[in-house]
Amino acid sequence: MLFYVVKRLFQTVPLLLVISALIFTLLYLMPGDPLYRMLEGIPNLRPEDYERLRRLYGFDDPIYVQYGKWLWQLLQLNPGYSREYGQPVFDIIWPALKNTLVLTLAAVVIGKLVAIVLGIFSAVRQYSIGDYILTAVTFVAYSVPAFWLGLMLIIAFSVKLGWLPTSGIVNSDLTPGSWEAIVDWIKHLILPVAVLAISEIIQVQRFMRSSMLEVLRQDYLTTARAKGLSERVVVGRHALKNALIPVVTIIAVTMPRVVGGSTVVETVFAYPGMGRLLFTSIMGNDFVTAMTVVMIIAITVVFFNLLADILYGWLDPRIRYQS
Amino acid sequence: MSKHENKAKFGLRNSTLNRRQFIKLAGASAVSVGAMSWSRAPIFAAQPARKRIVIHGERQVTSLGYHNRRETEHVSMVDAGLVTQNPVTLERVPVLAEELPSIKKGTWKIDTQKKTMITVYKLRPNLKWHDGKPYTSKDFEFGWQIAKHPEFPMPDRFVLEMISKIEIHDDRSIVIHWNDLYNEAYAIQYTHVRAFPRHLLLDAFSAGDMKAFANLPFWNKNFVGAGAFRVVEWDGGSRMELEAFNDFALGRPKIDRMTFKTVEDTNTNLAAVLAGEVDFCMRSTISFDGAVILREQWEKQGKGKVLTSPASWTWLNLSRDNALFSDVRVRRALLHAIDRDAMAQNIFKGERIVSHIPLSRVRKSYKTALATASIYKYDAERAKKLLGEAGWKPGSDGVMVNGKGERLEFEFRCTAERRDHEQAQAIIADYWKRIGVRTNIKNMPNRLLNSAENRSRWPGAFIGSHNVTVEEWQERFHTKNIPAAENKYSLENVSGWNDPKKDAILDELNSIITPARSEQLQVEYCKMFSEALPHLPLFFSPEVLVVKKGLTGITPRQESGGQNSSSWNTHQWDKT
Repeated sequence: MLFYVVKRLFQTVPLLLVISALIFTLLYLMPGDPLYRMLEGIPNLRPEDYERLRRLYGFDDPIYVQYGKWLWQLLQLNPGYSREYGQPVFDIIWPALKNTLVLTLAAVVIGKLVAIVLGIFSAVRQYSIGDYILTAVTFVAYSVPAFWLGLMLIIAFSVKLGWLPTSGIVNSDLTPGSWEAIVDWIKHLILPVAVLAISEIIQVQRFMRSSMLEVLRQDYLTTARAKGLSERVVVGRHALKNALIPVVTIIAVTMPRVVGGSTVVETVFAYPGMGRLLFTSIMGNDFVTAMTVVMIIAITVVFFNLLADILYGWLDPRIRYQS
Repeated sequence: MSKHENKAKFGLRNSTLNRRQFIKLAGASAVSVGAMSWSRAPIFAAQPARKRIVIHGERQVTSLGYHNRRETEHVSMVDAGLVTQNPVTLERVPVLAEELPSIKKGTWKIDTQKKTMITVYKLRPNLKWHDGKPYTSKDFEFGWQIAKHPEFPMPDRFVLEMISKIEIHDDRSIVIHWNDLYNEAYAIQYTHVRAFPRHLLLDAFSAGDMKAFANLPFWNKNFVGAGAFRVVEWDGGSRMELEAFNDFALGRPKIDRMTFKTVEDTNTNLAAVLAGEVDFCMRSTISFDGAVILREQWEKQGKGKVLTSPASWTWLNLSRDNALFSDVRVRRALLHAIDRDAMAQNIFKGERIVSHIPLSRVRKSYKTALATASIYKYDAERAKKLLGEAGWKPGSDGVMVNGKGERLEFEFRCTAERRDHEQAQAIIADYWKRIGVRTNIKNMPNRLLNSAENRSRWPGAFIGSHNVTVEEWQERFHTKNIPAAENKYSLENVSGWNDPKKDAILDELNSIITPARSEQLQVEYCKMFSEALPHLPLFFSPEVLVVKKGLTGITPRQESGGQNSSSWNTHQWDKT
């Protein structure tokens, strides 16, 4: 097992290099001028000014030189300076990452727990009215785009009821650390967490239902029932454990979203997280920032895929990894 | 197989995590991360303020200095120049300078023979930086040294390179020597040259590493300026806390504190206004459709004002490279075919004003220029007649065909994100169809239109917009500024209008002349423009500002352009 893990870790190095080269090339080939956003609206700009700035920012270097410079800086844990944000890239990423972790972890924990409970309910009460209602609601919610749902929630809870703020993360009026500030911070989180959590529920609930249904049909549960165990014990102790195995893998694979954030939700709620950072850096042709964010997400994807494989082997005794 | 055996198979010892411990650890990690992130939340160094306003902007604050992406609206809140410009009257107003240099007083000397000038500015007494240190003429000279450094990424060096020397006689006098004639030399604004605190930046500048110097946190997070408000917190560009500067040159601002938030989504901004969370929405934060909704649902209830001003100019260009449009009669016919008045009323709810000339309505010469210019009223029959005169006749399918068998059919582009342009495009395409002109719509997102291959050129027609400022005519219309391969299509005269007479007018307008002569030239220029039709003028497009009830002093700019900013007078804003 240890050998397997070490081998997989070594394999990730060339994989990440290939990913970084591919993404850098894609960003480079993306239409648009890296200087455009910086220069728009500035009168009297002459061609020589344009050329001078391209040289100063290194945009006149060939793509492999630009990639090499970026990679070298990243290896020194200093990916450079963001033109779009006017700060060192890591200075922007850490606060955004922390904000995103709060948002997405809350959404993932709430969403997955609710999804698991609803999935079990749907499976145990298959073809009941409750199951039909849940199925219908899930399919309707699945069709609703996150930005639309976000706006609807803003209209309902911020504009009409006035209970929650529309956007942002803080109210600068409040004294830091005070109860009011804490409550206000939670209030700012409720709507974006709700939108993300609904998305989590939709995805996992259906999966949990089918996984549970499959397990409920197994012979060992019939044996358990024949032994006289109550349905609660049969489902809660015997069925749930096994039904959760594939769900845990799915959860592990979807975990990179916790780091990557949600571009749409963070933009709609003006939430300063990783998704919004990625969006603005790509729109502003700020390749250094975009590349670093994408690489952090890529590393997370690789790591959680490895973790999913390990967890799957650990949780399901039938899986073996050969040395 | 027992649990123990299972663990052994996977190389897991009894001392390693079991599932229950794993879940506990995962839960504890999640709580720790939450707590770690929570520590960020209370950083917001804010004290309750007497008069505080919340401003929403569409673009994050990247830089408050010279370089990187900078927004005049943000910079003019925290820094000040020698002079500023009233965006309503276009009058130049001294801020840090006591008065404007003038030829009469001998503080503006012009040598037309040698093409040199000297302007003398005197700073107001007792000026201070936000950190309380004295603001002197040496700081101004230092700012010029920074900007002209060849390795400093200053975008625009047009004015800088006309300055040959800055002399400092005492702490308040600035003597600028010019190596060329420049008609704005009497009104140097912060966008041209500005001072920077020498006491904070001199060491870093002298070290010579201009890349490190340009990346200093001074330029945003730790900015020290001389504007009406000082930066107390700068949160990665998405939020900025500003506090009134007690020693501002024109007096302490009436507002105590301003919170600036970046909210890109126009719908979220609209919701924030409706929810009463925002006091002022800067330009581009509310869409035109949003403005219409706010007028109905918000302004009518007395909750605030939606201010619109016809600040920019929307035009339609027929490609300079396409022979179909080389005959001016074709261009005139295409303009006659569009009912701009009906479009302005029906589509744009009267918020747009039809334009006939590229001159703002607030200019003194506007009325005379309009009276002198050729006006192309909607007249489909006249359009058809003009096309006939140019050799175009209806073909078998109704599309105009010329003697060479060419069809009057072309590609029609606009920016995909610009809903107002797309609306106009669909209607114009329909108007043209009625006179036998076929268009194929192919819109592109902004970033694609600004790529090297699409920038400044298109095969057929394109709807665009830009500033309407007379001071920018040189860049927009002079022959020397026609985009071409050798200048990487980076220049602005996208119409390709090439006429020496017009260039002579533009050159004279850019020289030092009396206001009366300038107005006369503007009229002449507009007349030429309306006859040649390098662009088909469509509308003056509104900028939307939203101001909550109780906030006063905000003036929407009447002309878009780098020198005009609605935050030019933040010290006069008040909240009741």
